[in-house]
Amino acid sequence: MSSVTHDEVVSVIKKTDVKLDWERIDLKENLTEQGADSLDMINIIFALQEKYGVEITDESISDGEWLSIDKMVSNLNRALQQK
Amino acid sequence: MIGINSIGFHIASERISNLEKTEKHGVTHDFIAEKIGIASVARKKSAEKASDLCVSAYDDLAKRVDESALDDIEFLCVCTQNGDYHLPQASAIVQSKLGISKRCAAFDISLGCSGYVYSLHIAKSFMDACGLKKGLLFTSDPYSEIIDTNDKNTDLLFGDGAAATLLTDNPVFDLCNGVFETDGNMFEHLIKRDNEKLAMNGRGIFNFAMINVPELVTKCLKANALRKEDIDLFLLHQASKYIIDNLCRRMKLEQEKVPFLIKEYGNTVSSSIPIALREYLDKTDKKNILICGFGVGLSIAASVLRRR
Repeated sequence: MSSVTHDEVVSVIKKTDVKLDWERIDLKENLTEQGADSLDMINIIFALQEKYGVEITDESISDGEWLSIDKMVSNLNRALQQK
Repeated sequence: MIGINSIGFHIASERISNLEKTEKHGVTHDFIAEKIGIASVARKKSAEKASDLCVSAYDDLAKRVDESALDDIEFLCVCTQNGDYHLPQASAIVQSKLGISKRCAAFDISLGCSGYVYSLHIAKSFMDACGLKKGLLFTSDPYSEIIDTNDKNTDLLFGDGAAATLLTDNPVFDLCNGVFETDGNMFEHLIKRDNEKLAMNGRGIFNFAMINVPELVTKCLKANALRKEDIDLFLLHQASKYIIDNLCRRMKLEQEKVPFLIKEYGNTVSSSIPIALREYLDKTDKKNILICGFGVGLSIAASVLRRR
């Protein structure tokens, strides 16, 4: 399976209707620092789970592993390699 | 066949503003207004019990129907998980408070937010099987008794209210085929353990709803040989604005067909659907109403109400 890209993750997030300033989005910065709230993050992570068929644990979320698009891409690729 | 004749409800009179709790819970006004969608939550008096809320809902029902409509009640059921006592059943207490004859079957049903849909089907089946003509279905689950007011996951959501549904053999709405599912593997996502307050994993509930509600709605439509377009109103359990908005988007439903009505009083658990349904009882353009409840268990149920 080919690697997950930043563009793909951005596309998944956009479909959730979460309001972010996509012109100025910083891929390395936490989305919670760029306008997303706790419910938005639940929604985004649900959309990623559904799209890529990976399980994302509450613990990894609490540890801040899914806060930025950059981290999302890395973690998704790691999870998909282990499948 | 037994169906819904009328509905009364009671929402606790005291209101606690969520907008005044932004600092306490570390959230913004926008978050409460746009995401949670609940500006204030209804709170009962501490001495009031589930049965008292039922009696108030009954009083509201009595104002809506003819004087004789509530005579000869043969069936009484209370859907609650926060009854007056561990035992006896709240239904017996409600029967006593309302002075209903002892010739009345009375029992409780222990379910949360899926409880109204389940209870309607249980009540209808029981009454039809036993030849009973007139019954009362109450929903009353005062969560203020089990909420941790420092927990933003629940403190901003739940309000106290109750509903009384009159079930008769000359109904306004017939109850069509219901569909019911349970995922007990997720029971810890909404739980009140002994000597603890209510604990809710908001992410678990959101994920459960997003996956299961659209699937069960589709199954319910199929079970009733209906298409999405045949439904005039989708009354989904009023969990939060965010869940309703996302379900609406996910199921590609017209927003005006999926109302969110709890801004001023909060999520009343198993009473959320009947309280909402009351708004549409007299709106005769609403012929087919799909109802879907989901929550504690985790449990989910859907059915269709068809206007006669």
